[in-house]
Amino acid sequence: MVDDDPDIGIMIKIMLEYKGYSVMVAERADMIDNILRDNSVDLLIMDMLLSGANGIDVCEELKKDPRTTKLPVIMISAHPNARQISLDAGADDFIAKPFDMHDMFSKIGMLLEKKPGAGIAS
Amino acid sequence: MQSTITSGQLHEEQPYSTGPIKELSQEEKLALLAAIVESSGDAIISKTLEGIITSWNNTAERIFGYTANEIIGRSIALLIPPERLNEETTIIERLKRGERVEHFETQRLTKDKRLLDISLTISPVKDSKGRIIGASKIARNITEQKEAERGIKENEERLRMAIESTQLGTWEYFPLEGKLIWSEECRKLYGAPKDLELNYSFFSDHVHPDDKELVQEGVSRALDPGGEGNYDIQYRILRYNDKQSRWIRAKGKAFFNAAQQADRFIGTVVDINDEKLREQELKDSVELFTVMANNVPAMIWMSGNDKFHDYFNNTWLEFTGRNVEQEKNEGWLQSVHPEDAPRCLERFSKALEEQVGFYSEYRLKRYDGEYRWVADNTVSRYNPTGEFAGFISACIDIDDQKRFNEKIKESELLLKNISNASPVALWMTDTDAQSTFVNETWIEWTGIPLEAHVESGWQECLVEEDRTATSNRFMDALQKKEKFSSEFRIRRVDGEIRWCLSEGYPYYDINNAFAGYAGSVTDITELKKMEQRKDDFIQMASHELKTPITSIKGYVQLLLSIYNEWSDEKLVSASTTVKTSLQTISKQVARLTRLVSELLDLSRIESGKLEMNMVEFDLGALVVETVEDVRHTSAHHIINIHQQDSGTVFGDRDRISQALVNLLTNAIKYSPDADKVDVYVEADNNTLTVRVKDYGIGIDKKDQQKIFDRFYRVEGKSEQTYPGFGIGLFIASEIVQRHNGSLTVESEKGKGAVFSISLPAS
Repeated sequence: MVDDDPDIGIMIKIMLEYKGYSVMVAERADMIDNILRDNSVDLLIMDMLLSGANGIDVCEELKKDPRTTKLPVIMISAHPNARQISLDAGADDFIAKPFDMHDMFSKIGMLLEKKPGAGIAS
Repeated sequence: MQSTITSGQLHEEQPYSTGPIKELSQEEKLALLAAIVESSGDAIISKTLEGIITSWNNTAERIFGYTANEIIGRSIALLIPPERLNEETTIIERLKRGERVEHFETQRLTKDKRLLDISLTISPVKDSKGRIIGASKIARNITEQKEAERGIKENEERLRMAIESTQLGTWEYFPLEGKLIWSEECRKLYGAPKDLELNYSFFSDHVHPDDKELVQEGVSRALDPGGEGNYDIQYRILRYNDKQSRWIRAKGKAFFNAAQQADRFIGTVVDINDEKLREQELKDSVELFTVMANNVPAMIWMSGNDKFHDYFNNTWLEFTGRNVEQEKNEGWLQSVHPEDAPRCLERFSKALEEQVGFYSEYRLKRYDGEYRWVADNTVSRYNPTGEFAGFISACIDIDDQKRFNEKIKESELLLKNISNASPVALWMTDTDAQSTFVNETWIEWTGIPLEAHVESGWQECLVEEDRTATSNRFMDALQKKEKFSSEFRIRRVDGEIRWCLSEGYPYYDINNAFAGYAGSVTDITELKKMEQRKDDFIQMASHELKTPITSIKGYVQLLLSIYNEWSDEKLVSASTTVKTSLQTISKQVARLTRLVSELLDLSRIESGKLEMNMVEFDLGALVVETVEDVRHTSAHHIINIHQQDSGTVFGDRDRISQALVNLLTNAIKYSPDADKVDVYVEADNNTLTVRVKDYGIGIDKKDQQKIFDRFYRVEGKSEQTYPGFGIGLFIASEIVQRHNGSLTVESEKGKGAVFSISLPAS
């Protein structure tokens, strides 16, 4: 989970852990590479506004990179036009802030179900 | 005197031949001919076809003054007055055809340029082979004869006129014997034949009935022994032969015998009919003038060729309340306003000097003491001999008109000042979209004067990209005579681009005929900037709001989930209140979220940035889902779905759902006393319709269109308590329109409402 607002990042982490997922939180875009390298990540949730980088650019890079192209990415944002921009950048889904917890669960569930074993190509 | 006729010439030209000469020898003939020519009382001239004189006799010299030496070899045109030169051409033409010209009366010039009346006889001259080589001309001076003729005519005319003018008849009457003797002229006057026997009763019978009394009196007076015996009357007679009525004047004298009896009464009669008629005509025309002059609404005065006014019509006198005696000469000046009088007099004197009419305006004192502006139109008049006779003038009271004009000018000035002081630009066009007016404000902005606005010149004021659209909008409006409204950018004279809003309306002249458009242009640049700032603010505000909401909402949902699953009894007993609070928070957050979304949607709609995520979906299924979501928000409303048909539509599923949510929440919100809402889904002719029927307060007819406007809320006491921004229907309507559908309402005050969304089926 990447969000430059720690309150949101931590809240999502709590929610997902409550649901049984294992979650790592990053506040900065440059932390993404390390997380992806060291852990077996199944899905990335990323805010559009990140300190030090634009989440959309990061999403595009990930989708271009053959190693991460299959990694499901859900963009999350309060920005009004973010949905289309995110989908155009290759994001697999989009969650508008403020979001419904159950909606988030169902989106994550669907993506992980649809792409069993998807993740970082090692 | 030299004869110019030689044998050779004669042989060739033979100008004149007569029968008897043939009997003589050739030489004798020639000699005789020469003598005839020389002694002839007529000028005998020969000439070539080119008009060159070849012979000239003594008489020709005597008549025309040229000697033969002087004139032979010169052109005949010398004798012809310039205005008659074309005669010669005609004569030559005739001669060439072999014709003679006989006794042609014309005029010719002498050497000393006197004009003579001449009778010409001209014959062609042929050579031995019969070719026409020239002409002989016999010219007879008929000047004296002509003058004599003229003299006789004049004398005859003079005599005739003298006779006509006198035509004095004489008569003699012997009262004692009753004998009447009339001269021939007298009889002629009465149209009585020479042999008709005359007596007094013939005389009196032929007096015009209207004048009988007058004649009778005149005769009696003349024959009255106590009088002078004089008789001089004018009366009409009825002529014996043609019954024509004519005026005559009779004069006479009666003589009395020793017994003081009139025994002889003699006198003259003369026809004065024409004179009388002229007199009558004059009288009539004077009368006509007087009647006319006194009845026209104009004030009329006349002056002689001196400085003095000598006539004023009734209208003038009634106006000034003065009489002719007072106004006469320079009296009228007393009625002229003291400030205007010197100018008037000066103008009048000048006109008199130049003998040319003039126009002037001055103030004239009315009978009630009020000075009124009058327009004085003076023209020269002339007597029958064409001499300047003075002036005649017609004056009209133009005071009201003048004041009216002043008022118009004042109001025009006022309008001009106002329009130029206006911060709004103003314009007008005629019926053909031609600019007829722009105020100073507009000219200041654009630097383009009115003249440059003709045809499509006005478009130069706009930035190029906005010209066609604005022009099209205006032409559309003009065609329908509807309100014109357009936003465009202008390039100001200082180069700055400014946003403007122009609105115009058709206007109608006093006869209610369409006369063009009048409109305004407002600089809305600041407004636009402000709008942009507002949009920016709302976007920022809603984004800012969303972070805490996201947080609150997330935690609340999480807590509720945790709480629901941990059904520990201790927790239950201790935390009922906590649960209620959390539920309330959740609900409030949902509401807050919707408000923020609505604000954001509004901003997007206004800036045209409401994005649509178009997919194909089943409308019926969406209705079921949406109703399901809304059901939770109301505890005491049952929402029934009556689905007859369904179908798919191509559109933004979330947005359509949003529109439905807005209708459903309104249905609940505005029917607090009802316990149900009915939803119908119908399909018809490629159109899918969702109707949301409530049993609430309803909407007044007058408000039914306005409720789709943004921020519009039905006003009234009971409505004040309904929460929300009042933009739900506006957003719903906008969403539906973006799907080429329609959102309509049927309602009556107090009887609930049915809102229908119709969408094209895909």
